[in-house]
Amino acid sequence: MAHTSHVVSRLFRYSNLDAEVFLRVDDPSLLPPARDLHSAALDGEEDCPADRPADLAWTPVTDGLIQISLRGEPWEAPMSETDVFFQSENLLTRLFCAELDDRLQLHAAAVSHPDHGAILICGPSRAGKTSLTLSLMLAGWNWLSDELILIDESAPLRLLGFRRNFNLKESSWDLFPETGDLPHRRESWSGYHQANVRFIDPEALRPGAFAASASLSAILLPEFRADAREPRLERIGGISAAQTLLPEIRATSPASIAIVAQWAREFPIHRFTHSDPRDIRDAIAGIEWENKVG
Amino acid sequence: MKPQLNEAFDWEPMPDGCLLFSQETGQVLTVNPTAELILSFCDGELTVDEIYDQISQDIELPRESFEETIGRFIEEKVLLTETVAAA
Repeated sequence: MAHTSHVVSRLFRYSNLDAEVFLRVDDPSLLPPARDLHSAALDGEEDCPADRPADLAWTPVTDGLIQISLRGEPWEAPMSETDVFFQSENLLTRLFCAELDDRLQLHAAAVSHPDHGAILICGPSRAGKTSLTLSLMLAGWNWLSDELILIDESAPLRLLGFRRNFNLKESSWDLFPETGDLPHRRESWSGYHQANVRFIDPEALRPGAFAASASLSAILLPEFRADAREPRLERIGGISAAQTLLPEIRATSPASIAIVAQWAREFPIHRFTHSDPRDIRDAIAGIEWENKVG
Repeated sequence: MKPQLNEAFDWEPMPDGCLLFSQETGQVLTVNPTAELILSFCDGELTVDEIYDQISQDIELPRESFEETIGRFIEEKVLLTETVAAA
């Protein structure tokens, strides 16, 4: 007897550049969190059979727990809806990284402005990438990403944006009251950050503010210091800059080293020490721009 | 000993030094201008003493710092010594 698949699941399609990632949700009660997950990159959803292959799937099991499947295989043990959301948020980014591995991937944020071009904001976790990106977005800049920037080796001065929702740690919530009541907002505990994290859709904050790509014009290396009395913007040398930039490259290669060296040779690089990310709005006047924007 | 730059390392110039990258190991080194100058003399023809004499004509560099830099580069396999290079 021929097998008949029933339409009982929902398929979510996310896209970044030329890559697509699919999430299948096998229970209607899980549709709201699915719609909030990476909503900035969500390009559509449709009904599908329960056996439709997907990169990621959420299937309810017993006791209110949900099993995540990664490319058809169970991924870790069943977990709560909150944990499923948080883990899937990371898994989606990882899946995109695997799909886009023909490009240089930099753990960095970036914003752009028609008059200035793009500022690459690079630093380790907790340096303030997301909060600086938000600060500048609220001051009228467009966003390329708060987490991952891609570069084609053939065009090393052009930054490619990566759409996903921002993760704002609880310590920054009071600084950005605008994020407190947005569509698709979710809050959950992050064991990795040891803090509550608010997931927000930057497109809900400022529709149309995403920039798919922009020409690099300056590089900013943030450093958060709770004891910093005054924000400080200082121009730094290429070697110091490389020491911050290089660890943030996902796969080091001769091409990626050459790109970082080229950036250091051609663009002004500033370190921004701050205790309040909103100070970047005034400090940015001190940046020396590379006149390559046209 | 006549140290020589390991050809497995790519050399990318920077405004204030250079980057060295080993395609064999993925190792990346940031090199300041003084260390870069030292490397520029390590051609396998000059001894360590001769390199120091040459560099001392251009910059003031304590012998101890010079030897420390050479030693670090040998340890990191950026520089090959005569014995290793011939092996």
